[in-house]
Amino acid sequence: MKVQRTEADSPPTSASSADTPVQTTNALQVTGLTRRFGRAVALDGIDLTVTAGQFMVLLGPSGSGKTTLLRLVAGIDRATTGSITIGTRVVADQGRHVPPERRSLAMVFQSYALWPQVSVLANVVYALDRLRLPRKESKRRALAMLERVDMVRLANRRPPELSGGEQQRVALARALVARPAVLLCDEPLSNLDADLRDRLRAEIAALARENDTTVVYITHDQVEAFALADRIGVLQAGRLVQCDLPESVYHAPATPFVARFTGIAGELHGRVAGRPDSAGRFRVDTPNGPLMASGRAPEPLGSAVTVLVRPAAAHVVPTTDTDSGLLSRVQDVAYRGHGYDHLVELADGTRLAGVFAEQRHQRGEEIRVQLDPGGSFAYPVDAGT
Amino acid sequence: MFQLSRGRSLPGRRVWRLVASSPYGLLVALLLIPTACFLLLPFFPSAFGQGPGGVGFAPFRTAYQGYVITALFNSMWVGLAASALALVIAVGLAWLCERIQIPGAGAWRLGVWLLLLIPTYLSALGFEYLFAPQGVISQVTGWYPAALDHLLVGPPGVVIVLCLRGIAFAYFAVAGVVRSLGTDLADAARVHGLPRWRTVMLQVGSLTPALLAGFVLVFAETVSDFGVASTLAADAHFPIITYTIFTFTAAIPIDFPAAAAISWSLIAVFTAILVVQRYILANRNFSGRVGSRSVGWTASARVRLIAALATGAFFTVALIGPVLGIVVSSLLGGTASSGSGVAAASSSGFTLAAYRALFDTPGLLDPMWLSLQLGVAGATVAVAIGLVINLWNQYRGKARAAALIDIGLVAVIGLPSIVLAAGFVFFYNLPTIYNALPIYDTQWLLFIGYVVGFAPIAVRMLHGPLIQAGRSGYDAGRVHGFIAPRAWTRAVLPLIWRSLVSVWLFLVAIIMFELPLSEILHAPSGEPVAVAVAVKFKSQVATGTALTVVSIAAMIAVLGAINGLLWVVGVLHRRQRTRQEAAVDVLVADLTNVSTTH
Repeated sequence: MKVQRTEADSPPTSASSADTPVQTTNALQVTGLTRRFGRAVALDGIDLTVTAGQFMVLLGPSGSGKTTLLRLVAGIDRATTGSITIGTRVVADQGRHVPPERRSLAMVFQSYALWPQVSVLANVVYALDRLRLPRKESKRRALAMLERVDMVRLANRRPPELSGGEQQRVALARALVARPAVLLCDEPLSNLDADLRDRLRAEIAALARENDTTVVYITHDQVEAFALADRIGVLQAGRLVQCDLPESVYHAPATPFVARFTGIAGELHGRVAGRPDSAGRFRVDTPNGPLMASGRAPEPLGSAVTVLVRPAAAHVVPTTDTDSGLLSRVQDVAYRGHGYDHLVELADGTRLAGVFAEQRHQRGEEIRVQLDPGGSFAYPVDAGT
Repeated sequence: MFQLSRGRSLPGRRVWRLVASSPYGLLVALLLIPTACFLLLPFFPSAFGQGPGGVGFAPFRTAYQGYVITALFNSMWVGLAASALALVIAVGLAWLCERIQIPGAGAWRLGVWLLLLIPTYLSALGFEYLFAPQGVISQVTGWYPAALDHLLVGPPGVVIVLCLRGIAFAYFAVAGVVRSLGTDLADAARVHGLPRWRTVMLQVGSLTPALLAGFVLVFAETVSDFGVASTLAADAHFPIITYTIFTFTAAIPIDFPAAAAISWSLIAVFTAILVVQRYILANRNFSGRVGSRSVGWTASARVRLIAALATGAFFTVALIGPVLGIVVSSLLGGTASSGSGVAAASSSGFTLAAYRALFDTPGLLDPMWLSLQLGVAGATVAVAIGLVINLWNQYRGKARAAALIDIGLVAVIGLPSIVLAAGFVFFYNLPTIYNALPIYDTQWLLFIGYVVGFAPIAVRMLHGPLIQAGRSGYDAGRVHGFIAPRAWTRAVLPLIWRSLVSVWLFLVAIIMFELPLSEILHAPSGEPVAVAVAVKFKSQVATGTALTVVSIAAMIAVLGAINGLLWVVGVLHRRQRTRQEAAVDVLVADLTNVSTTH
């Protein structure tokens, strides 16, 4: 599978994202990066550019190569082939490997990786060693950063005496205190509970933007990715399959894998029954009835396709409206505060999850579900995963 | 913004890899080559100048005759009996100390450590002298326990002493699993109506891997033991295979091919038992049987007290032999020998004459100083090698290479010391080797023997602490600007230095009283303490036991001094930390005041 080169290789335009500042300087450039472990290929020819001040989120499931990529950028591991450039400096290519301590980076580890034998303050002060500041100044800066993450009152504590959230704050302070050129975050919130994760996510974003830090952040959580990213790169089995603005990844997933990994309500199978209109939408006939889908319509007419439907694209319409929507039966219902999510089964047994309606429909009740073409993506059945 | 700079160049990396992998080379050169040559000897004796003929099995036919076969059979059944007994006692002990947590559990664990640290030849000699016709009991009470003496100086005594040592190994093999054994299985069994005996069997079944590991460990230890074989068993004229190997290397003329041929039997036995263990474990699935939830068994206070008293009685009996036998006999002042068995004291009443003789006679304490020096030096080098190999595996090694090294090290640990020693004597005595490296008949050979024999143990013992310390702290240090040595010393060393010191102290103690390597490899110019004690037990009992007591006291002094030093360092560190914390509190208060004012 080829890397889907989209806007990742060029600076974002104001049209594509109104609130993303236009950047011209590359903070990090990865070219043809490959890492093999024996016969296993962990990363396969990754090309990635992160502009200065950008918040890049790399999204992918376990084993997709996210952590390997981050470790190569950090210099903890060595690439088999390819090059890495930080700013204007090539830090890794064939025969060259600049050690991690000379890459002007910082990193927030999944396990926090705080030094347990020294205090919270010392953990942060140590990260300033490379700046060779006077001792007093180091302490002052470290305390100021700890105050920023609301940890100054625990400056004398040892990391094992802190909760997970507190440790993560210290890790963040340690990473940001030296104002690194690039901040790497290795699933920093994955060990925290949901509430704390939401709060710390907001803090990480605020601190990074406040310090104008370039961030490469990896996660397997699509909600986290969309919440944080200026740009999202989706990794699958060691390949970067799409790298784009969050909106583009959501509204125009490059592959079925990207669509599935970023959240779908269900999959329908059908055949192309019409030519694309001006908006690129075309008719697909399914065993449950016709529907409109977006995407690249495969030739010829009648080609088999799989339609992946976003949860937000599925709506309940009145059963009296027999001209629109697919007839379905409610299997389950869950209260979501502002309404109800329904699990419905279509006539051919296909199930759609997360079908939202403001009012509750009872289990076993027949309803009609209308699919928004903008959130229904058709792919040829041989498009792979 | 950035300066162009290159990392370590490729040739530099190659040199670094060469330096870093040198401990492997050292171990291979010093251990594998001599041992391999020795073990190949019976197949190609003429290739090593050890007899006529080509490739064949002649030394095997010569060696495996009546006496050797009896010795092999004896070693097998004694090993099996001692291992089974040790395992049963160790599981019971572990259950009482780790699960029920009877009163004094900490003291009983210390008792297990003592069983591990006391060499088998000291236990054997201590027990022997306790019950001998003119031994401690006889001299102190006037009553000679003939039945006990006859029982002890024979196969039952050999089994008992080997079992006592085996208990320690088995305990450490099963204690962790017993401690962490979840109650889920038992709860599920009870909830589903299984009878009590089935519930108990289910729990015992989940211990199977640990039990097998413990059994293999104890069996390997007991069959390869030389201490009991050369003392108690030799005095009882009960042939044991390790002593038989020794006699072939000590006899005149030396018969290395026969010794090597007999050594193969030990290797074959270990291989067979490892294969059986692997087969049993491979055909059953024990995963998930050890739960994370450990709930102490609720025993009544009376039951716990009775269990504690029984445990106390066991340790009294187990430790009284070596302690009472050795200490009291050193105070009885006996200097004459009674022949092949245990020497008798010639005077009645307690006296310090043996200690006075020990300190007044020049040269009598030399074995202790020699062993102390060799122990310190050998442990230091072994720990250094162990550390470097572990670091290489953890930071640089490839998974497959690390696994191979691991298997190799386990094999080395399983190799009986007597085989290693015989291999060393043979190899370094070869004219070609001696001309190139003339260390035969010098204490260097013994030193290298200690390092090679104990470095694999250091590798294994340091593996756990280093894996537990992990490398994320090191990686964090590198990413945040520390060069590699600094990152390691700041992030990892503080977490493992206690383990390093503990392993070092353990090896000092073990090397100081090690017998088989010392017996075969020591130079004529000086005997290590183990050899001197074994010799003196046969001629000057009180001097021998006094030397033992003084040597143990010296070892305890070293342990105490190191621990004292650590304590002082700890106190100083805590004081410095308190001062630093006070200073930080002031800074934090200032910062908070400024924030509030603004």
